[in-house]
Amino acid sequence: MRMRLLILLLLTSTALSGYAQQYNFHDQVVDSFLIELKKPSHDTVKMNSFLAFSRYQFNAGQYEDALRTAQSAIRYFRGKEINGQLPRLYYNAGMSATNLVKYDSATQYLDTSIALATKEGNNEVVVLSIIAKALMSDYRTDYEKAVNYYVEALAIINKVAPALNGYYPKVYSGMGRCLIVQKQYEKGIAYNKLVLNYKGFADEKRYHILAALNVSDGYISLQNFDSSKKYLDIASQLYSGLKNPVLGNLIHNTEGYFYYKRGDYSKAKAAYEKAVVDANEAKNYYLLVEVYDNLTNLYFDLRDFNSTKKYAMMAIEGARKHGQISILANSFNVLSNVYKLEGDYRNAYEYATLFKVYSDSSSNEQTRKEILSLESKYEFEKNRQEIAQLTITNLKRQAEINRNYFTISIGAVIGIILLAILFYFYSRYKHKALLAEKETKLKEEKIVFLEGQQQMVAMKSMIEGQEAERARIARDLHDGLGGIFSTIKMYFSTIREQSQELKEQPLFNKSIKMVDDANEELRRVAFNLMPEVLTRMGLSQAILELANSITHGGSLKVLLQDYTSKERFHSNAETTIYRILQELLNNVQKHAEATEVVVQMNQNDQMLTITVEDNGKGFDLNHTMSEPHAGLTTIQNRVSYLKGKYTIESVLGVGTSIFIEIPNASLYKND
Amino acid sequence: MIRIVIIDDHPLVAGGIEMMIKSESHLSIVAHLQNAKEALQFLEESCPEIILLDVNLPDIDGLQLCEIIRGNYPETKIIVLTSIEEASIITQFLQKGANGFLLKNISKEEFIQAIDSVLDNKTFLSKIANENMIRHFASVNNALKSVPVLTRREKEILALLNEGMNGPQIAEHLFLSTYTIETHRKNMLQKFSVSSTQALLKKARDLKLLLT
Repeated sequence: MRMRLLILLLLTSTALSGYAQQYNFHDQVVDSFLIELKKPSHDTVKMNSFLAFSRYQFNAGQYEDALRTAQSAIRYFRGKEINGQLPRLYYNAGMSATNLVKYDSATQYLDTSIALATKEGNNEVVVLSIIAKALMSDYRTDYEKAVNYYVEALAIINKVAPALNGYYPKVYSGMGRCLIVQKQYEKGIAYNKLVLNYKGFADEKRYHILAALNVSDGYISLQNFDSSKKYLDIASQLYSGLKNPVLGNLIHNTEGYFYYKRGDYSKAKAAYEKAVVDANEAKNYYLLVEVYDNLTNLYFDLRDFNSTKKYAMMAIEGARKHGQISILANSFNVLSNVYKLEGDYRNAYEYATLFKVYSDSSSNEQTRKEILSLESKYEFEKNRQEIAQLTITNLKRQAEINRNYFTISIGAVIGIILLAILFYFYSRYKHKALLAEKETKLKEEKIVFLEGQQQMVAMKSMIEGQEAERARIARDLHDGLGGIFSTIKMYFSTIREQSQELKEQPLFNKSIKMVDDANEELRRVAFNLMPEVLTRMGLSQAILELANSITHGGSLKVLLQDYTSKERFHSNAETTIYRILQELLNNVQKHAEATEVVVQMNQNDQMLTITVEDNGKGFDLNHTMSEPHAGLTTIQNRVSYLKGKYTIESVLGVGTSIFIEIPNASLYKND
Repeated sequence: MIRIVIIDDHPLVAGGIEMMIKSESHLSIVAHLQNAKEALQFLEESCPEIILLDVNLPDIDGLQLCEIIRGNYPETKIIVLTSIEEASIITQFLQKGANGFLLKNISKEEFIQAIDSVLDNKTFLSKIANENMIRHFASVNNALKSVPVLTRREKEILALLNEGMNGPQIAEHLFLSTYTIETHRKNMLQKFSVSSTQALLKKARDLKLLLT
């Protein structure tokens, strides 16, 4: 989990650094960019300004701004042949989108970049974009794909060496990381050590620090703490004198992890706290979440539950925002354990459920995919709006540029530039405010949507988990307790036969009777938990037994009309429908004051329909619907689990009818 | 000497049975087998008069084993020993050739009675199993004989169909979707085993479910 933290920095440093370093102050960059932009012609110069500006924003961590700049530049230059810089713009947009966790857009940008750059024979941008795709795959935990991209990049570098020799360490570093994440520690360490041997390439120091940290991390996993410390020290030495809070954070975080693993909690705590300060200074909340996650584990080990909860909640909040699923899983797991130890089983259960959702590798993958596809859906809409907005802004800019041109000819150059800057800031401010408003709204909608999705996943695993648990308990009751009771009965009856005195002993006979009662009660409980007939013979027979046993009780007559084909459904569907009917009949018995209830099941080529109709007192639907009604919620959940729908009609004094429709597709497969 | 074999993976219950018949000199437990594989191997060597068979076995299902034993050893009496009492499962076992059905919660008297009954070529059901079976057959019988009951919604729709309305008209009248009306109509066709609305209306009239 920790290893992933290095990606952002790699992305940041891969190719964009070096350009922006000449600018020391934000204002200067903005100024120079604006001045260039305001010039009416010279698209080449303008392109360079755009590139520089988006790089600058990127390196300042303003990924959304960087993406917007690149997008508006792409719109402006699309179709114009500008000295082969267009692929770079796409590359910048792809990098920014990657850092914004917008993978679908990022993939599109990077693919376009590769296609254009290949066409123009710009090998460097091809390599850069392939490396970026590798890192994105790595980030999405598809390591196999990542390694494939690295190999592809290596092939191109080999072909055009030595022009691109400087990229070898970058590729090796990425491959090394992937290997370490996949627990191929020795190989991963070897690749990273290779990086340390390369000298004199762009960003050398940064890559050496990262490689040293990777090696250190690998050794921690191998429990080789001496070597780990050695490389940690190398990283620290290389860093001394540098002022880069992102690198600082990585070093301190690794240091903290090192001490944590060695069991030196006070040193670990101190290092993590430094890492928090660094992350805040870098305004890199992704990295901050990583540290929070580590602190959560640390405080849990220290059994300081208040701090554990505090950091876990902060980690969850951030991880949700940045899609750090493995951190979410860990936080939920730790919280579940904390509440378990505190005896708060309700919370413990809830967090355990969440943990299950996020940790289960298949559902993890699934959740991730669902979240991403939702993301792209909204992204599309948002892009459309952004583009519309940008077109307006561009038109405004164009108008402004024209006006500037006119005034320049009069001669009041400086004054007008100042005005233009003012106007630019004003329109930028307005534009930003509008976008921010729109974004907030979209985000809110997205949260609601994702929460719904999450609830669905949580509900599914809860229902399935619950049923598995019920079946297990029912089986245990029969096998364990049931066997003991039966054996006691056998012993007692044998003893009784051997002694005339006992045969007439009332207390002894009463004891035997009580064993019978206990056995009867046990069978009743086990039947309610999971009727054997349901698993053995299917829904129709199980409903028949249920109806008979209720009718036998005497107060309610169940008229069962079963017109289904009687073929077996998927066991999850059978159990779920059985529970629905159990709950509905339970409600009738408890609340309806009915004497008869019709249970009708029909099946046609599309769906299964179920009607449950009683002749009870009925109820006021509006009243019941307005309050959360536990029974109805359970039914609602189970019906929607089967992608079905249900309607209730109730007439006071006449009775209640419930009509449920379940598509056949939900009956025969479990997805 | 009546030889008995127990096929059950719960040692406790087997111990209880052994205890019960200790004083019965004509009965002897010759083997306690934990699963179907062991059981079939043992039966190849020597076939007992009585087999006590658990419903849930670790390898194959008790029902399947029951069928196999019945096929290979037609003379052996099989008594199903179980903790479940659902009538449909009992029926299934009887169909596959079981001679008796005993709940594990038995007294010695009942046990001896069960052994005697099956040896006398009678089918033995323990008291609760017997009650469940009677109830079960009564309800199945009733369901076969009885005229389908119409739900309130179905009555409504049937009456409107009888007035000559079509699906969309009924939908509008009842504020429901045509789709829902169609579903109810199809359900009624299924209930009365007819294939057209005309036939449905005729049958309903014959059964006096319509007041015209």
